[in-house]
Amino acid sequence: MADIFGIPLPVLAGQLLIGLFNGAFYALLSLGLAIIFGLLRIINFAHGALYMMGAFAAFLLGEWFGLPFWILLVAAPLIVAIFAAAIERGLLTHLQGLDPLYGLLLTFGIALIVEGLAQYQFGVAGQNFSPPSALSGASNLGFMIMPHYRAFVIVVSLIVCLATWALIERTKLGALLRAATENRPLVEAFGVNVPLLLTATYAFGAFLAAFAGVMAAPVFQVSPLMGSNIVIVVFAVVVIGGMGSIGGAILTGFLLGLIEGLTKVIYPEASNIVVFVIMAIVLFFRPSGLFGKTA
Amino acid sequence: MSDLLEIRDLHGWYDESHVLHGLSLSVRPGETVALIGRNGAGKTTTLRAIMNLLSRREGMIRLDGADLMNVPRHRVAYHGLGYIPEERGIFHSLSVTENLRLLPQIGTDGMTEADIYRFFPNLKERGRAGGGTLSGGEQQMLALARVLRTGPKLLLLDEPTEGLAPVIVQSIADMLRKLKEQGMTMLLVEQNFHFAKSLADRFFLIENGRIAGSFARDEFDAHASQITEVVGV
Repeated sequence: MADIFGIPLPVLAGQLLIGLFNGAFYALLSLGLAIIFGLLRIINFAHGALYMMGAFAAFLLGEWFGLPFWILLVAAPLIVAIFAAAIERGLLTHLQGLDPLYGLLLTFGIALIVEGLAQYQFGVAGQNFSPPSALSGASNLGFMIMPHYRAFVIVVSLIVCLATWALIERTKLGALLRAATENRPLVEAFGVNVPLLLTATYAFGAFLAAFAGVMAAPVFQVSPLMGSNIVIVVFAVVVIGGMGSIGGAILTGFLLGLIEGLTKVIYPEASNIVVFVIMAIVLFFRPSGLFGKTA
Repeated sequence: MSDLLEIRDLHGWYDESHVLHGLSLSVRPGETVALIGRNGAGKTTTLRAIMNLLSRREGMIRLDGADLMNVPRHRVAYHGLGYIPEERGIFHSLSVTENLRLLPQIGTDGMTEADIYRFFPNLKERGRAGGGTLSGGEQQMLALARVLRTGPKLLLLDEPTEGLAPVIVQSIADMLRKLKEQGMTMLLVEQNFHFAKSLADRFFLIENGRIAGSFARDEFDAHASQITEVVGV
């Protein structure tokens, strides 16, 4: 079979697929972080915990009520979004006007509490969650074997990311969000209920994180620490892409997934740190990130 | 006739700094009132206080009889206020059309988009352009157009001519005069005396966050020495 740079094509294609698959999660998570940071000016350290809650909500709803995967994919993120809305209304709203450091610390505290409670209840071992039978199995494409569920995750994540981008860049609601990101008090003075917009935005970011968590559940195990494992990489992705950019967050997410996948083929030892090496290089040459606006 | 806007003993703060010190003024329906004074005297702060954009305020602000002091910021406009902020407040990440359509309707007799494009033909041509790509004059027209669409009773204009070429200042004056003829009430902050004099019916002279004097247009020249002293021109 054909080799590319001395690497068998199926191996390369397989790793690129895994890269895209991981990138799908990076994109969904960094997109939510970017939206939340843009409007609320909060670096949401609870993002990984919300992702984990999405996976657990799906797992528990599945166990208790036997709901099918397709319902869980929407119901679990909705529950997490309601939880996030309560957090925003009850806690984050009181930090308005304070240094962003307070938001970072508060959300970090929330993450520790949520993860601690989950560990107390479920232990650190992972719970199994099966993918829907319609998506099990794999196809042989000739040059590679493609697991159906992974392809599904990549496509759905792309669709959700693009829909979110369109919502923000092409609709009236998105225009309100962009305007409030630019000048919150003025938009409020014009008669827009900005406090509600803030709550909805935080809840929406949480929805995206939990949605990623549900999709992750069948592949990675459902465990209390699944969020803190991924969120560090996601923060690096956001730093590389630039905090305020929606399109940048999506693109950087997929791109870094791919680069990570490629590194696994070329020099596996570096695959765990390549994202951080890129982050360091980007920070050195473009401190505001690849797609961030230079102040 | 009773006042449309009535402000009494207004105090206002930006964080710790106390800027307004018991300011009182009134605006009657259909009237154009100009606030004049030095930089930092509290003119812009007065408009911001009306819009609930200060960190703290005390005193009385009534619009059309309604108390505005306890109205949350996002409900203030619904009492009939159209606010054109300092530096125009055009959103750069929004297109011209998005800027125009951003503000919620607050009254029933707002201008339709067709009316607006007749008044401001440039805005239609540049509809898809980014808000930040407009010239200063176009931004000012957009800032005016987007509040006229909402149907306000009272326009608050913060230095509408600042940084604009004389020919643009002239066309903005023409537009405001047309609005005035149609019965619009306006409260204007202005450094350009010539512009203010051509438009306003009454003037309030502001010094150190208080009213230092007020007079009608035909008394302007009689107060010239006081104006010169307070404003320093």
